[in-house]
Amino acid sequence: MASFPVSPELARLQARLAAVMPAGRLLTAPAQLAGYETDGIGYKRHRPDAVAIPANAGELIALVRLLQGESLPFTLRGAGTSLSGGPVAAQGGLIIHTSRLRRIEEVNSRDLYAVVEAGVVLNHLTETLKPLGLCYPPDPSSGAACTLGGNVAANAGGAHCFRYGVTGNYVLGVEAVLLDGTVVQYGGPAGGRGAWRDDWKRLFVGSEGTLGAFTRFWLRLAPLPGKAWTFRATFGDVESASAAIRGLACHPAAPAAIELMDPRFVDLVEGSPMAVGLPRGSFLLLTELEGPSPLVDPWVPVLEELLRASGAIGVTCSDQPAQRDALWRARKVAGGLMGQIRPDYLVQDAVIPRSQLGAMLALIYAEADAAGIPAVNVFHAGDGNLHPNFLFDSRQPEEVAAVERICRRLMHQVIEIGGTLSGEHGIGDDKTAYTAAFFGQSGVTLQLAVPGVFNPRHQLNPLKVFPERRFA
Amino acid sequence: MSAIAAEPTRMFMAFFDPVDMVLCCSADTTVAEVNDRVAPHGLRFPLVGDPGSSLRAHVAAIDYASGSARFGPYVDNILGMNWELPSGTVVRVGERVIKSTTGYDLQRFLLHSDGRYGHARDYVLRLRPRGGARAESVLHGDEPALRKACELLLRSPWLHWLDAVDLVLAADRGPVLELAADCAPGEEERFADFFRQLAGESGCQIPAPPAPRRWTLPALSLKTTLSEARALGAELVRDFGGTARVLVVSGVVHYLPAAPGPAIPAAALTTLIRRCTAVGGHASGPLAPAPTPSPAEARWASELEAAWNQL
Repeated sequence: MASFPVSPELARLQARLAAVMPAGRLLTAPAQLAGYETDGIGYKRHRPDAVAIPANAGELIALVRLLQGESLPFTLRGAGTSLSGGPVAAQGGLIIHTSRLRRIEEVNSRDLYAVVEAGVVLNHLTETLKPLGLCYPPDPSSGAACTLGGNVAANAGGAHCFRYGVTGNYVLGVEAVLLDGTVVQYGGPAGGRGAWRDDWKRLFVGSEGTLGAFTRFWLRLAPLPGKAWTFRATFGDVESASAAIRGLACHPAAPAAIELMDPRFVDLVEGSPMAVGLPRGSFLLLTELEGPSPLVDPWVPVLEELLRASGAIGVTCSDQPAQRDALWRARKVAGGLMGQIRPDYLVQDAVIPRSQLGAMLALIYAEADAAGIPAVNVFHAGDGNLHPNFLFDSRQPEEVAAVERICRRLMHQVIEIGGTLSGEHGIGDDKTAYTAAFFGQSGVTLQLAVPGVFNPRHQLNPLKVFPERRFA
Repeated sequence: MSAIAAEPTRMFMAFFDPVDMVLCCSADTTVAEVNDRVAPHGLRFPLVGDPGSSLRAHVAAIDYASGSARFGPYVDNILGMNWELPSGTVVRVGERVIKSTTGYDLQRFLLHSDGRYGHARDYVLRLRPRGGARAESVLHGDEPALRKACELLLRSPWLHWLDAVDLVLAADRGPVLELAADCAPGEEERFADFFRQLAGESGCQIPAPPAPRRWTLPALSLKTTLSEARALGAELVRDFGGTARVLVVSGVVHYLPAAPGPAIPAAALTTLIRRCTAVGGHASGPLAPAPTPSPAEARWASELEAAWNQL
């Protein structure tokens, strides 16, 4: 095996690491490490010193025990689809790639839970459950690649979490190895506290890999929701689109998803070979009804009327799978189109009171236009969850600076109006600059007490969530 | 000791936002008061154990209520809070928006801490649309028939629409399965059709309209797996009398003894709780003894307390 220069910290551990990790699963070659430098953000790069790929939970536990007390930081990583800079080696060190922990260990149809390893890909679980008439509802758009470990670490959401809830609502139990080498199980098939006095599981879900290394989960399942209707409506202005969102969000028909795309998004699609015939300059709203046919079918004309009464220019709906896919097509192709306009794009993530949607959109336009940065907007509008996409060229320092300036302005406005910094992507290392303003001094003290218990040296995933979390 | 807000400008003030469907109110507000306040806006707070008991009492005693079948436990319906630490300092925890993954989830952790790290002064509640009508039914049957009804429901898309799926077991009368859904006017008959179909497929009967429910908070709440909850409920009533309400979708047993007092011998209670904890469940409520923390857990807790006492 070729040898490559490594950091002194890694060099000191390399022989012991090699004893735990067989050849081929401890990567140190620069070409191999390059694939682990970044996550979905793309332009922020942190090269790890090495990457270890444990074959199973036993090897992962052995790795953590080996690293205990050493001077090498380490970070757990699933598929690397995070959009917040979560699973990257912000302070160097070792990446532990969990892709081989991919067993679905049990699907219990009687008690509606599944036991899965942390590296199971979300859609693999979804496809396994479907023939059984079951589902696991959280549906982040990276489902084809993202792992459940990453989903739990970031408390991932998705379009349909407006109705069904986010990942944390479905985590019955977690198993993790702590930095002192102990393996703990918080909760389990029953989804309670287990033998613990306190509900530690709640701290680990959404902890962005900073408290322990997940090995497996107990996940709550649900029956498939039944028949689905997709509605696509276009609006000429944000006020009418907002009226429709308000009407849908509190409607007893309980839409499963309420998604809004802005006119710049629509124009991007319509100006491409992927055009679907939407009116240029319009807002695009997608919403879905799911449930037993006798319940949801009668709501179809009611929702059509609600959309039209709110000011929709056009309303189309279908319960046919191919046509429903066609209605979603504009939403699905946008990511690829953005990549064709500029080399890089940054997806921001924040949640605001729904009533502030129009004002926030105006702010995004004003800031992006003033900086000359193209911005297209996608919202999980039912949740008030913003996803502005800023398109730029990371090779141009002034463009990077401009995007970061826009994000700073955006996040401070989110805080000002009572919103939160992240709805489903996590803080990672992308938004640590805003946590002090968001939490205040007392909130930061409260929050930092948690890693202070489980990861006091910040050896595990340093510089994430809070800037104070630097490994020394 | 009088409470002092650590950062007064960050505290939640009392508010009601019908557009975002959130309400901030005192933790001592009763569920009935909440619903009286928000009902004129077509909204409701769906988790009710006893309408006349405070939100605080609900969170402490039961974690889950009938409405949890559709909306989950209390902690998933409380978005934020003003929290008074044992030192008397009041801090803000959580949000006023309905979705967040900003920082560690202290809110749910603290809500489940039974007062060890302080107590809530105010809650920000997530509200839900009020349909304007209610579909209810009570299925009667023997144990196999009701078990089959539960199993059919747990695989049915209708499950996503039911507020309550409660198996009620009592020493002095036969078991029943109570079903309820908040719905729009005109939808009641569609639910009734489904309830009749469910009864037919499971061998249950629907002999009469449901009697008004008597609401009360239980003395013991056991969280376990779905099938174990049904078994535990039956055993509790068989061995100790009283009434057990099994929240079928949540895997929770709410037990109410026939008479006030220690209805379950301590050794038997310990065994029951061990059965729950063995599968990752737990016990709460007045009859449940406080768990003894392991040495590791005691250390973690004291480290948290020490850090938070700096405030």
